[in-house]
Amino acid sequence: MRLVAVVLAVLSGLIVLAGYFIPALAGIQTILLSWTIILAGVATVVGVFNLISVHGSKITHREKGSVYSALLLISLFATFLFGIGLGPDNPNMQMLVNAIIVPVESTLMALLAVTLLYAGIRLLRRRTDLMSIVFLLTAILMLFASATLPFGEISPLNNWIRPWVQQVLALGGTRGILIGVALGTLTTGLRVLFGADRPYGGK
Amino acid sequence: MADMIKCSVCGEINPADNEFCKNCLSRLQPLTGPLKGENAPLQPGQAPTKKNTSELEPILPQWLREARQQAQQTEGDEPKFAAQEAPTIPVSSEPDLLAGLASQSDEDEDVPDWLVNITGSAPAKKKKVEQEDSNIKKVEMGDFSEMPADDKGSASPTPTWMTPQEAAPEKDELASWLSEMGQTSVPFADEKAAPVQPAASTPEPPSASADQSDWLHDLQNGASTFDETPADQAPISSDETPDWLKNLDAGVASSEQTPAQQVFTPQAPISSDDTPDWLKNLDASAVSASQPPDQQLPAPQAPISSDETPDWLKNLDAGAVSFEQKPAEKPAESQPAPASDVPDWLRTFGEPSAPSTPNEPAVAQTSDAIMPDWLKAAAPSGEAPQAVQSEKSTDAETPVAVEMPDWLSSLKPVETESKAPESAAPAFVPKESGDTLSTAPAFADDSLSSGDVDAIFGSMQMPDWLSSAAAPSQPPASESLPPAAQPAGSIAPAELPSWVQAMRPVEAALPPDMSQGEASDTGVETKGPLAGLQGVLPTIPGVIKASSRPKSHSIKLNASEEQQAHSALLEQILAEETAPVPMKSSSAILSQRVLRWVITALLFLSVGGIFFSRTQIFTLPSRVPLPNDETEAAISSLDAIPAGAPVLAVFDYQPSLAGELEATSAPLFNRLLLLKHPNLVIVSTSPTGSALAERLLSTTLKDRNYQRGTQYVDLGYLAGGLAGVYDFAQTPTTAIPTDLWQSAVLQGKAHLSDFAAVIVLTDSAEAGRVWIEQAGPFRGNASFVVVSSAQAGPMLMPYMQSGQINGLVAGLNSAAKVEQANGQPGLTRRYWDAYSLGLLLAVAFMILGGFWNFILGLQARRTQEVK
Repeated sequence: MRLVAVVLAVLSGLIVLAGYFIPALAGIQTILLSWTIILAGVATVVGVFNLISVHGSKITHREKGSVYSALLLISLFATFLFGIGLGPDNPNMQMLVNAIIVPVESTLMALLAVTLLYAGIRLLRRRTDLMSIVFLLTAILMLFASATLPFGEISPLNNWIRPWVQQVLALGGTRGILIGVALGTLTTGLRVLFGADRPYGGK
Repeated sequence: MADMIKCSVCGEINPADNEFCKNCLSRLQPLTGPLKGENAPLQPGQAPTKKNTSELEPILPQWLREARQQAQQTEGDEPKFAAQEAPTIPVSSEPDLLAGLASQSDEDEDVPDWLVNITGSAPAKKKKVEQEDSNIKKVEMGDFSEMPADDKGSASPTPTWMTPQEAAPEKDELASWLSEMGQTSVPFADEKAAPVQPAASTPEPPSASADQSDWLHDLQNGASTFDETPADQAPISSDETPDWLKNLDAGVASSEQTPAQQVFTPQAPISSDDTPDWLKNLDASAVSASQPPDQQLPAPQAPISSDETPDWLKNLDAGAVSFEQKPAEKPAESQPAPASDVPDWLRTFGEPSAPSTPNEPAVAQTSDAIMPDWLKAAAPSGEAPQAVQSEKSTDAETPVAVEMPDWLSSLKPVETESKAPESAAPAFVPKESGDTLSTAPAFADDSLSSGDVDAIFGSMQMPDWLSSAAAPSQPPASESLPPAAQPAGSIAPAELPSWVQAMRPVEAALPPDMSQGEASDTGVETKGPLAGLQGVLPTIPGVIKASSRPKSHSIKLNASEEQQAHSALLEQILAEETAPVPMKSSSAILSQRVLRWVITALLFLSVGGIFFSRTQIFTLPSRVPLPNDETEAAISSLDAIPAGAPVLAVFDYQPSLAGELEATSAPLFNRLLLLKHPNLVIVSTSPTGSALAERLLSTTLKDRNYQRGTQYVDLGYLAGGLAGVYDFAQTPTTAIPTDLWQSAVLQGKAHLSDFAAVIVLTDSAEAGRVWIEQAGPFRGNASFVVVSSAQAGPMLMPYMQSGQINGLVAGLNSAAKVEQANGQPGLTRRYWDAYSLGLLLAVAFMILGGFWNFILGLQARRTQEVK
């Protein structure tokens, strides 16, 4: 059974890859990709069901934090019912999004600002080295260069230093990261195609 | 081994029939059997049971029986005694117990001197009862050889008490009781005594002891009465009175010469068959002793030479004689020596007196020589004649020899703790006042007071010499009992007659100093079955003190200082292993929390305050037209799309960054919608994309009043992530099969290339990258503009540099440029002051805090390096 899974996985990958190079295989490629999309959608539903099951179990066994699990499930079912019944363009649904979803997530994101600032302040206490200092100085520069002063902006800083840092230093690093990601993705795909990695189970 | 008995003394095996051990001659058989019933020993508080003397016949000791037989045989001698004495027995109704003694005049050689001295003419050899150690009642039966001899040279075989000698009339007690005996009934026997003539009211001699027993007093009265009457008169006429007692009465009456004095004059010798010879001799001696000094009887009559007289009694005569020859030579101590007429053995039972004079030892030695063995063993050595009572024997085993009669032994340590007043000393203690009567202490026992004795004997009318055995007031003088006198433990207890039982001072006064430690061992037991015995170990816990305490051994280890130091070090090491390490993070945690709160508070206050104040202090960044400016490129690309063209808007950002994206995308969408009026097609790869798109169009872009279905359509959620984007990019109609493709907005649009522009709104570089990489090849000539947050901008810049996208608007700073290009202030302007102030505060915190922590970090590092 495990061999079948491996064969199917490998064959599917090769066909999809070949479909990029062989136009005759494009139809199969499209079919396989369609199946992939369906499976991804089903996986989302399965995830939702798993979420319901986990939190429902916590509620049943009266574990610690079961109250929050109950609130989550209630919110889930309410949003689901509202979304299906009212639609995304319904003003009530919009009110739900604008009054609950967006503020809650925005609040969590706002805490990140304080945490990152505190981490930046204590960076040099935890790690007193050159890179830490450079990193901190760069961050200070960019922050300072992104903002303007009441009496006006500092033109060299805003028009020259900050763009150069972004387009030279940042861009270079970004490209390197992206190339590394690309290469890593390619390698991982090849490993799956060659059966070296089997994320779908089995040895 | 049947029928064999093992001697308890020597361990020799003897036949069961033997009475005495063949090896050590100790008694094997008890004298009496176990006491049962009415024969049970007397318990404290119980009244003595009266018994008929005849019932006690079987238990009489052998020697007593022999003495009785001798008395019976020498019945003929009794008239001699009576003839010797002046027969002046008055006729009285009361039996004169000492009539026999009264008949013994001075001519009677058989009258012992001690008896004579009892009557008041005893020599000054009386000893005052010493009370050194009170509460000891003993019957000192020491060896007469050790007793101070009254006359060393006197080797006369004749007992001194039998020789008529002047006896110091110091002791009236003997005479008194003798005189009383003539008046009262017989106290010794239970037989009904004849009515005794009422004793003449003879005033007691001034020298008489205040503690005279009642019966003795009666005797005195009787004797005085007898004195007035012819001596020939028969004293007691009752047939029930024993003859010996009758004779005693007669002797008392006949010998009475001084009315003022207690006289004990045995009139007739004891003629009863029951009277033992020794008692007969006592009568005679008492007569002679009771006489005043100036009227002392002549030399005692011929001593009782009868072969039937026991030797001890003979010896007593000689001893008494020697005593009488030494009158009042005692020092002016408290108690002079007893009368010389008093036999030594009798003296020993009297009050103790210190033999301070050389005469005393001589007397003692002489007396010792004539004292019978059994009496020797019982009497204390060397002190017997002087009332060895001065000895302070603490043993309960008073000097009772093995052969000592039981009745005599029982008299000794009845109560050793009762103090007898000196005046109640034994009968034979001579008095310093110079009484004519001189008595020798019969019993050297200081355990009982004479008063106690009197109380006991008063009702019983005991002879004085017997009562003195219970009079203990004087502690023994010096010597302890000889070892031979110590009870060997083989003496079996005998059944005590009732009168002896009565003598047991159970109810007698307890010694006052019973609590004394020294006397505790010498105290007389008053409770329990051992009542009356001396030297009983107390049963009260705590009273007994351990003779020897166990040695206390130190449990401390003998360890040297070095070893102790090593052990202490080891203990310290072990303690450190188990000791918990204290945690020291409370202060650090507290400082972190405080810093966070401070930062939060400052940011909230500053940013919130400037935002709600709608100030426009901070200037917008200038728009510098740079060639590779991504913002300018985005503006340019969107200005090139035709009007009313379909534009695909992908909303792939999270609600958390909706505020930044709306602020960033608002200027661009305002420009696009205002200038080009495109048909928007909204799609999203996140479930909340559609909602966010609606939000943007209904709030930020509400001024543009875009209508759903006519100006924009929402294709919904595009599932499949990367694959879905790819599929949509290939065939949008199949990726999202909906009827909207037939709507007016999407009329005739089936491919991605059919759109004029693709605007991707994303907050992450990954989503933007996916759309760029997947949809880019399929966009054809459509402009591809990406609107991202400031955090994703650098990551998407390469795609800008590579030409994969046509424009990039990243962050509020770029949006401000777009807004400047639009020429109208919008949301960006509203947020710019708060945005700038927040950034400046962050920069300040980072600079100051960073510097401070940098210093602290250096110090911590240096401290660590030093450690």
